[in-house]
Amino acid sequence: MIVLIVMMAYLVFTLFIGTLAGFTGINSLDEYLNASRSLGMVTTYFLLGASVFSAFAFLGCPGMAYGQGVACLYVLAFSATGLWGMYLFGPRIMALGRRFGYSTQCELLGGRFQSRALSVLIATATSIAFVIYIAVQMKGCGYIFQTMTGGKVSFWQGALISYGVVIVYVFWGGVRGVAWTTVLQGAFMIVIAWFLGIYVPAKLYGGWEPMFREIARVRPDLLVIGTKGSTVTMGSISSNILISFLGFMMWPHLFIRPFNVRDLGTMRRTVLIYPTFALMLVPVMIVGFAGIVKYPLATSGIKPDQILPYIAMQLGFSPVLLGLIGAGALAAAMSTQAAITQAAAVSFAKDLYGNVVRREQTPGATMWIVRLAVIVFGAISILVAAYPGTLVLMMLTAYGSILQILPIVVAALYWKRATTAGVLSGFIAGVIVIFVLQVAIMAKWLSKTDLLDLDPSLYGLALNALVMVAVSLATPAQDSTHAGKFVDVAISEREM
Amino acid sequence: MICNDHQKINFDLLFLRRNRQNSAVSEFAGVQTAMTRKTKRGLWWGFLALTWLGYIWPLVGIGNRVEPFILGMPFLVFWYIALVVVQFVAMLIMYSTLDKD
Repeated sequence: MIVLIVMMAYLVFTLFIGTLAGFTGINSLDEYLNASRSLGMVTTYFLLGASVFSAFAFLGCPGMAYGQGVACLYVLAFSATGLWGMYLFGPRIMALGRRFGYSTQCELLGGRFQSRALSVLIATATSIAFVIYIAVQMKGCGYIFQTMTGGKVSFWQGALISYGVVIVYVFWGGVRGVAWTTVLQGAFMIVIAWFLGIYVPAKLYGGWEPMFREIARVRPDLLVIGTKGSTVTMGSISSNILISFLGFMMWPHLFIRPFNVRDLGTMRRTVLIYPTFALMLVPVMIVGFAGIVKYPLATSGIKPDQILPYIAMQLGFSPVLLGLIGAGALAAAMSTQAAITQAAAVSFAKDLYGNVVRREQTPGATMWIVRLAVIVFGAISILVAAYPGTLVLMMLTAYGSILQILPIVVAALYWKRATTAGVLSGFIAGVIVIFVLQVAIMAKWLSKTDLLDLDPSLYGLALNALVMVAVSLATPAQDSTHAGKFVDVAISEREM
Repeated sequence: MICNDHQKINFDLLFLRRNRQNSAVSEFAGVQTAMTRKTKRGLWWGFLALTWLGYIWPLVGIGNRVEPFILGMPFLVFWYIALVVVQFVAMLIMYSTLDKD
């Protein structure tokens, strides 16, 4: 009961902070969508960090360490380096956002390539990916509630309550509401993660080193890559790192951050300190490692993803502490939901609705369309979360298609000769490759070894880039003044 | 709308600064500093790329072992964390020597 009270208190507090942002003067569309392009380093840092520290941080990541050992280290690699692209592209994105008033990824790409089809295509692909991402977070929240309250709150009640809170403050507070709550949630979950990462191994083994020595004795295969019988091979870990690294910034909720940030220096410094967020994932991995010897997967009867809450329950913490751990895990999932819901709603209103309806809206009307989109998007995500079984293929294709945006972004910002037909056909080719390969793997026509353990989306990316270049060169070039607005202006901006 | 005006002013400021720099580049000394700065930036990114390759095949093979234990961690775990820290420090130096205003 106390556990439930603590978790509920956390939800109420988050709701309060998030909606408070809505009362402090959302008087313009620019404020609602972009926080008036005024966010500082700490806020931007947490907004970007929220995407790594999702439900994955408290469930999937320790689960990976627990079930597959060092395979989880790939998370460190990509989350520490995934933002390098923002150091390089960021200044251009920022300058273009200010010059043309962009607030979404599609607006920028659609602006360069002057194509509604391209905008709608990308917006559709990213919306699908977003819906699935949210559904995963909802399942995380539901699971956390269910376990930590010993079933007093059911899976669905938990998932709906926590996402309901998110929808309310995103609806009311806009990007500033998301920013404020994310800082609060971010700080909170980091404290909880480090507490667990230090306390659990100390309690169970007497520290990190004795713990790893035990694992080295009992399960040495979990501490190196590519030993016989282990699930992690050189190919799979390299492929995971490569696609996550290349695709990281292509996620629209990360890509749009330069549109919200105060100035160039703030953005660069945010990228600089970002790897510290990756190091915050070390303690949750440690908790996963701590389960390997004491609660072997074969006999514990749990799924790998359940290891962190499972250990917390086994160690007999006080109810208040359990409540705080539950709240920390909720914070991780909810901050991600908020960032994504906000980005998705903006994209939905501007890229899908805006391009399909083809009518200019007043800023006031757009704000309400975005707010309506928050509700619609939330409802769709809930429906998808309710029927997850059939979604695996869609999920793999959608996540892979995020990576297919990379050539378009590079072409839009750096290559004047790129044409609309080129990027469009490249993107479509890439997505088709992923879909076909995923189907082939599922139908067992191909094994992962046939693909050298590389993810299908990497093959999609390679073909995408080839087709993009070939078709671009075969079609008439864009007006060079127009292309120059994106390529040349941005270059000189970077030299500032 | 107030915000938009504000941005416009900001943007104009950027534009002015850029023009000032372009005029500096026309002098020989200016060109030279611009070149070395670009080369230095390239070298830093080259170094960062090299450390990044340490995460994946084949270079991760160097760190792919259990012994020796360092700071209480098996060598591979330490390898990944150490790369993150090295990159972090390298980017800090790059920023403070090249990109800081």
